[in-house]
Amino acid sequence: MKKLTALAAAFAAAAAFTGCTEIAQEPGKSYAGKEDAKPYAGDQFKGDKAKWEASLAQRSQGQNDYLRMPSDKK
Amino acid sequence: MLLNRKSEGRAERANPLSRAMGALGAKTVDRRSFLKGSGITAGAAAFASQLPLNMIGEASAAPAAGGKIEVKRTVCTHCSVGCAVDAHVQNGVWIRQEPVFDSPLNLGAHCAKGASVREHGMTEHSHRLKSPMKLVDGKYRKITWEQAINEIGDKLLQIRKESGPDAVFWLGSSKHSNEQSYMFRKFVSMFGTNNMDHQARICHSTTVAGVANTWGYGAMTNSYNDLLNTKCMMFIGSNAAEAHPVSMLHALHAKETGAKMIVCDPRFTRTAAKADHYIRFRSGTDVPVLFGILYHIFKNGWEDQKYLNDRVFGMDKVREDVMKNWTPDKVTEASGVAEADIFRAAEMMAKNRPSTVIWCMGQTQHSIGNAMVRASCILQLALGNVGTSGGGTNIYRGHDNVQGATDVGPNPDSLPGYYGIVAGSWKHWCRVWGVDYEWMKSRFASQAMMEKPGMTLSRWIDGVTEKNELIDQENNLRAVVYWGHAPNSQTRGLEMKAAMEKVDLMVVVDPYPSASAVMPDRKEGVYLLPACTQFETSGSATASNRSLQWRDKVVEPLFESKPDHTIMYAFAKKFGFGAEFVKNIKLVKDKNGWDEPLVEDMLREINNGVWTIGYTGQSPERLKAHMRHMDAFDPKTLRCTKSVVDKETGYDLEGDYFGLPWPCYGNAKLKHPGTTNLYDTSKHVMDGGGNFRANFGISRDGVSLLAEDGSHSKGADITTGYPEFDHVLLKKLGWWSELTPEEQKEAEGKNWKNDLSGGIQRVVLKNHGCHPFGNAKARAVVWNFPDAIPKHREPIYSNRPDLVAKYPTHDDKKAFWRLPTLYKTAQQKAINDKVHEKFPIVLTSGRLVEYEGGGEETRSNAWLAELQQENFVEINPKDAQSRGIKYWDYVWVSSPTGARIKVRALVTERVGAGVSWIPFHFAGWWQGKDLLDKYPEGAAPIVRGESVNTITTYGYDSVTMMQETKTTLCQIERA
Amino acid sequence: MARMKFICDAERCIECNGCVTACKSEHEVPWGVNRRRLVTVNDGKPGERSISVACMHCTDAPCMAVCPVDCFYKTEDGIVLHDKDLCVGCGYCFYACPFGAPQFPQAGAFGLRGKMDKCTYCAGGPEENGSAEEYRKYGRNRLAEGKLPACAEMCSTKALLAGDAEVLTKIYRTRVVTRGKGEEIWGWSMAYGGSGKLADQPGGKA
Repeated sequence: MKKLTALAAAFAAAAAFTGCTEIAQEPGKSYAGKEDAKPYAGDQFKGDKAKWEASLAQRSQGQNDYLRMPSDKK
Repeated sequence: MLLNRKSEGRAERANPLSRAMGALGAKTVDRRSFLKGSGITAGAAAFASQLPLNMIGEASAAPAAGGKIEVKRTVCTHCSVGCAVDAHVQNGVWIRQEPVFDSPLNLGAHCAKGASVREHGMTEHSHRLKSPMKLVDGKYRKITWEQAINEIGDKLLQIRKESGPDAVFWLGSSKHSNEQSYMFRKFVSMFGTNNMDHQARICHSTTVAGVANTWGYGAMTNSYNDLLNTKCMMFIGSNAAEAHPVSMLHALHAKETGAKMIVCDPRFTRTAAKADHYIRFRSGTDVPVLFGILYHIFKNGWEDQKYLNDRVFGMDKVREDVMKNWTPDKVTEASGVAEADIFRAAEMMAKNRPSTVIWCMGQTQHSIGNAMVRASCILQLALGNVGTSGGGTNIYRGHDNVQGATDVGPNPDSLPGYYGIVAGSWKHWCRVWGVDYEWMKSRFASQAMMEKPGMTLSRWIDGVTEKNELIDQENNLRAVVYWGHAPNSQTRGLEMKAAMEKVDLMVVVDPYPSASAVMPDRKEGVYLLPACTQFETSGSATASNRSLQWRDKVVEPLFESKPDHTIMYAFAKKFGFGAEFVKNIKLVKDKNGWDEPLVEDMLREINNGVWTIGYTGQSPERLKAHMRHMDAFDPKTLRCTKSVVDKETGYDLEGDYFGLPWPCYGNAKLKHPGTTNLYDTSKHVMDGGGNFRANFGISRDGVSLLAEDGSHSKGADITTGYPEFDHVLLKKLGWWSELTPEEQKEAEGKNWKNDLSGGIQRVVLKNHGCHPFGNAKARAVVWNFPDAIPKHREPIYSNRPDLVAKYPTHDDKKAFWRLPTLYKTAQQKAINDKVHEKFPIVLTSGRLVEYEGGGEETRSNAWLAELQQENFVEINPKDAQSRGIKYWDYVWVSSPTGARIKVRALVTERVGAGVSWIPFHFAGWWQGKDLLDKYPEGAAPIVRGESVNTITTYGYDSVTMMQETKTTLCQIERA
Repeated sequence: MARMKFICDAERCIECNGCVTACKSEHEVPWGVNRRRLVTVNDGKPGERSISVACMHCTDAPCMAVCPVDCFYKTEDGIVLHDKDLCVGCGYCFYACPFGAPQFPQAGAFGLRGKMDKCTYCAGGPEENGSAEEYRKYGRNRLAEGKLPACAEMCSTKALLAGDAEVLTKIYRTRVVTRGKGEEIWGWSMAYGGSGKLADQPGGKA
């Protein structure tokens, strides 16, 4: 694991990444293609972003095995 | 190293990730990334280059307007974990699969196989066997189902008439549902023979025999989920990360919460990579390793003395044997493991209780497999680990329903439910089937043959080729039926080919042609019949933890395939016992007008007959309710602890364990919850509690075999050991009056195993909290086995003549499962011929995560096939260097049988010097030649390769006829 | 606002390839194109570790920077997608990508490179959400169905996680705290900048 981390650091240097914060790269900046619809735009969520986010949040917990199998160890 | 496919002259330019990974050391190439870069097969061109430039996929599963999407719940068919799958079906086409997060077994998780099961529903690029085929002048020709049933039926009837019913051998399947494997036992019985078997023979037969003879039942005692409650797990002979990947979700979760992990294996497996303590030992020396651990446990007083006194018979004799014969120097001499490593394992297991032992084919597939598995049981008994959550012997079964097929399916020595094949057993089952015992007897050559265990599938070839005067039945085998079974999973390929060529008739019933279609060089006398997969029918399957899950039918049978039970019924009619075969079972017409026995009725018949191991409470209604409410069960205990009412049936799941793991005693009305951890005295029997079984008499050498006072399941009215229950004992105890008059009528003269009213079980369990099978001690000494105390014996093909001299194998056996079986003669001949000098490398085999079993089905799945395109042998750098072998060279691997196979060389330290390993899923090549031309058109698997079993050698377990695949010898040279 | 990311937990990954076939099945990705794959170090030796790798949907995505036809865009959730109608298959993005994510299906008889294909985070592309056209070019749009990428949802040991960064780091944090190791998240500093340490992520602290 240590090696992998060191490796990750090496990539960062090699690729000359500098960002520490999220950099927005929204469509329109230098994007020449077709515009894409928002993921919550379709029939299912009808533009209701909050409902869509709630669905994703619930789905995320499917990946959390500690939810149904809590540890006694704190 | 390239991480993606080399193509279009970009091969020389590695991307930055691969460059940087390479910088970690030259040894980062692994088998998979290499394979991806190793060339594009013809298949690749067919798939990728026909697509328009901007597309990724064809539109076979594209969203279509209209057509309601139905969700069908099914279960992956590729291993015994039992991962649930939600199949999305539109217009009859399986378009998507979604994870079932609610499943307490897998929580939505899948390995490569599970995540790709939708491929089974695809008709484009399918490599399935699409219609019945007949071999005519060396080529497969399409025929109709009617022609197939008639021609095959006539031929089998002719053989039956001329040579008797025992002249046909039937290989059933662990991939059948419970209902199908149960019907297969009945079907072959009615044909008139016990010459039938299924994958369990070569999977866990030694486990079933060894473990059942130790404490009562031969199955996994706890569950995959119960690893969450363990404090230390020892894998010995199990590579769960590849063979049961989703079980690692529980193992690694447990490890995160503090459990220790030990892996003992001749190979540094992907499971070993996760271990706290890894022990590399000499293949075949499991007994020295396990008893070496036990030595330190006894020496340090770590054994559980009260437990041994109350619940175990004969440990004093084992102790004597271990302290005398398995001192650290002897353990090291035999196994090659240093004392400190063995001590550390002993200390970890003893000081982190409850601890569990996990094993698979690494322990079972030896000529002393029965002894190895018992050594594991003994270790767990000494530590007091059996019958407790977090402990137990967690024996991971292989196929998705190998547990169920073992429980209720085609075993050559037993009727469904381990009833045996003595007259009383036959009478019980004739009653359940609704047929006359005399009629049943008349189907067999004689009553003697009816009660003589059949041949095993590991040896059917000898039933064909052995001299007639040496076999224990009238005539040699003249026909073989491979019904859902790959031939390349059995050893001695060279001799198998000869047997396949010698029989009059070969029939293959399978969704794929399988290697059976191409192995023999025949011009005629082979038929291939397309069976459908479990996704094209419904039924229950028993996972390794004994939980039953019900599969919905996802899609209608594809192409011309039919469900196995429909095919069985068609043949039953042809053979003239159609009516008897389905006496209690409703028939429904399929779309072609064929009669299909109703699956639910088949399960009800199982419920009506299998009292011994508690397959009586799992009614179709209860199982279906469980599948609809998976979220109600706690993954740590598998129990539903609150009231959850199923709308469709009105059934309340409260108290049930998921899938009603057997034993689920009594009839469904009794509402026994199933048993998640066997022999657990801390619980009431109606809460899944229990104790060891009274199955070996009540005393031995003047010593009682019953449990001691105070050792009983919680709340039992009898607070000491007691024998199993029958009408006499009930009357003696004054409990008889608690049966209803109807129950009394049925139960008169019966016991807990053959009282079809269920009254005896009801009264014993519910009214008195006792266990129907009694309460006895587990046996550390199994006096009816060849080695009552497990003994190390060198394999038939050993690389150490000095150790053969000290630990020789058994004496030869004359009529063993109807065949003469060699031990000492074969071992001594190998020593005399100096086989270990000509073939100095130990050969062992195992699984890859992408493939299952013989591999035909999974090698026909493009998504899996792409990941493993060629067979290979793992060879240590030292052995490779001394032979001038470089990475991914073609090499010949040859064995003492005279056969040789051509595979790639994967040079790796995963195997130690002098050891090699080959995965067993490949077939379709024969000693260097691709057999593509021999397959029916369009039905060859995408990936073909040499089968390791082409070169494997003679050697069989001394109780069950398990084949010895895990330790043999070979030589490797550059091709 | 959500920021979609991947985490692969090297302590849990067992190299089972479930993620790979989940992706293949969900999008019917053709043979030879691998949107996701496994990388193993120290194969067969103590210290063996595996990582599942695909497009990481980088914060400052180098593929976007080098694309000569500007076919890349980033969604408001941080997912890097591209328009295949514009892509000319030049391969610059492949050279720029630190994860080897862009794939080029072979096209035509002369070994021409087809349009670039890569992991879409199961978010489709610039076609109508859930349409047949979107499916043919980019695969399923699970995100528009309120679901997460198939690879992560089906991971055998829940080693591969996908979703909003803050939620993920919380899930991951529980494990790290419980087992007491694995605080550095593989590939994160490379993809998203910063230290890659759990504690430095939003939601990564108690």
